[in-house]
Amino acid sequence: MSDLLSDFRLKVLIAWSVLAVLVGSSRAQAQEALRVLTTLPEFAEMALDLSGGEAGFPVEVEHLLRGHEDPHFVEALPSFVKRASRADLVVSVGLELESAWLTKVLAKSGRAQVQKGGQGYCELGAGVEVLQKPQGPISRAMGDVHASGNPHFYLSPLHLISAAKRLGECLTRLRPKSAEAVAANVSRFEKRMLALHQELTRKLKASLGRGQSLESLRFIEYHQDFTYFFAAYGLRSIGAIEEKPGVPPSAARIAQAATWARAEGVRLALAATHHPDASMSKFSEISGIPNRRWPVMLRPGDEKFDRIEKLHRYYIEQLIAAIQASKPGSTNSGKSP
Amino acid sequence: MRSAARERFVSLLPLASVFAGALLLPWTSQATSMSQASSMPVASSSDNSSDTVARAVSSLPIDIFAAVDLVGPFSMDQDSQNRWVPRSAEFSFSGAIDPMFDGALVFAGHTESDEFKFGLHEAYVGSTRLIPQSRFKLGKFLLGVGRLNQFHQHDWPFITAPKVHRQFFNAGAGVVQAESAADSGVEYTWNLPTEAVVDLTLGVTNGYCFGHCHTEGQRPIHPLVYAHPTLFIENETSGGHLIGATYLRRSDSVGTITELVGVDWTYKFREARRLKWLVQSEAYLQKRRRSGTDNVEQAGLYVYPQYAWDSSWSFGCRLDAFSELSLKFVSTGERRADLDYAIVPTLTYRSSEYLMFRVAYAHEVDTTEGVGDQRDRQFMLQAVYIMGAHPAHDF
Repeated sequence: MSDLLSDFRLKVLIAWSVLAVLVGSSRAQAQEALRVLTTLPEFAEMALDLSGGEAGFPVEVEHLLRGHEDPHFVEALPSFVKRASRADLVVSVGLELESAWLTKVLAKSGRAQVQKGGQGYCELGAGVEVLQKPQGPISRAMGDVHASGNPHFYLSPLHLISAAKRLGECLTRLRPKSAEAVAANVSRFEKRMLALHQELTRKLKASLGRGQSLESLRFIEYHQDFTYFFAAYGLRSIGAIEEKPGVPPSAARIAQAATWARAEGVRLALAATHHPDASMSKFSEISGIPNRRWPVMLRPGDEKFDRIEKLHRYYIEQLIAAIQASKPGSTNSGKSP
Repeated sequence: MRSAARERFVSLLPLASVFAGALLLPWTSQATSMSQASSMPVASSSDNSSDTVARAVSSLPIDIFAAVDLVGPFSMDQDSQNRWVPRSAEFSFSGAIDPMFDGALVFAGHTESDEFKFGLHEAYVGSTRLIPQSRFKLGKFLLGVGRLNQFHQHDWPFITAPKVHRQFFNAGAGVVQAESAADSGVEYTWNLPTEAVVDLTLGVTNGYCFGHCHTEGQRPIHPLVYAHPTLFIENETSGGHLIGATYLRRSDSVGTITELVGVDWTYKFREARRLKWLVQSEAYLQKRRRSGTDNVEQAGLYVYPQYAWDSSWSFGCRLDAFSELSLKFVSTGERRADLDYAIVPTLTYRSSEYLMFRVAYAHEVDTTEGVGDQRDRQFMLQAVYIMGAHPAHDF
């Protein structure tokens, strides 16, 4: 019995030693670099940019989404929980975009500092000027309306500047000694985005015909993903093909939207790649207005869409091509990347 | 008795609806956990005071929801049970208690043996912030073992529990009523600091009454203990495989020891809103022993593959099997073959994340050597609706 007991004690001792080594090694790694976990790949690029440079500090940046997902509807994967459990800073859009899954991921992570309100919790939506904030009481009868406003600001280079400032604050909170370096990097990022915006605005204007203005170009969206993008370039979206946000449009609604878009002189209908192709094709068939389905996030690993500049240049090139190829009411089937 | 119970239930439903409505109306603006995003322009209101109130209430750090589960089993073999009834009405409150701890309180009312019972289903305090890479619960909760047992009925992908679940987690409950086993105690989960995504859940609970109980039960010789390690393998697309193992040991007041071992597997593949593929399966072996009596060994499993055409429509077919392995002929002592099986095709329509209709056909056959086969065939209808901020779902 005593042999058994001592054997049992030995096993317990070994088990605890193994655990201590495992836990200890994970802690040691955490001290080496700031571990940043972002929801969108865009924010991972920003985090690398803001922490980099000669005066920067070491960071390890991961992103949860790969760019093909609908950020509203994502599984709270246990692997996400794992990544959150070792993160020092979690960066998200906020504005309820990721709340269906990120809430669960963070809650299960067992990581105190990345919980809402913690030092390592950073919603970039808190730093931007939010568009389309609903006024008055909201109910689910209105569809899936975000009480805090439209969360898709990451498709505007101008709004990304505000987001970068917010991210800079979050990074500085955790690495106060690098405050100056981060501030310099934020300025550099701001210049980069302003340059991109100017370049693309110039290209857009150059593509206009005589007597045309950016304001005169009208578009329609499947879901209001592109509101900030349109706002950034002074373009005008007449609204959404969805009758209510988050509710797939009925055949009657598609027909109604098609008639409405024709009457408004809409040039192009836009949707995200995760939106249903069938609805967009039906819309184009009825209205004669071409449609495009675009990625709405960076896609790391895909050379076409792995940098903010590349994605936004793609948008503008596609937009110019579509405008030049179509006059209001002409038929042109949509293509997706 | 039955009509009295039904009247009592029906009389409570409007009250419940009013209660839920009054509480939840302001929360609809939050719609936090499941809200699909968009920023549909909404007509502005001049009533700033109501807007202010709604926003003030919506900022409270608590999720409140009510879930109603209506079920109609229409048996072709036992038509005395055929009726359309609210199976359960659940009220849930959850959120942060303070900077360190979270709490949950879940009440549920349901019809059981023709009687309406309203009771406390879960009440626990826990934390995800106190111990690094860990979380724990202290109080009454659904036991963190297997797959199905960790969810409330209204969140299951099918209408009724497979026989293996009914037998091993909810002894004595009917086919329609069977739900998940809950108990009071402590449960701890550790995210292991390994490259692989491995979690280990350990639990100790009172074990006075196993399964879904409305009585206090009797003090067991040992508390109930369980362990549930899981491994997750992520797909290159959105989804992956979650594989778990269960060990559960309990005793009753007279010394019967029951040990349950099993494996569970869940596979999900999601394309935007559409959960294109779901495969869920569990298999268990249970051994019950008591000095002076023969050991009882039972085994069972179910497999449920489900395919979704779009974000609304999905079809799945569950296959169940269950056997008492230790069954013997009394006269000769020889092993007696025993196999119960079922096939349950299920069609689901989801209007949104908050409303779902389901129709299923359950064809169950019990075969025991020396006894004629027993069949139970029934169609089932289900409607589930949720009002309020349902917490985000686990994988």
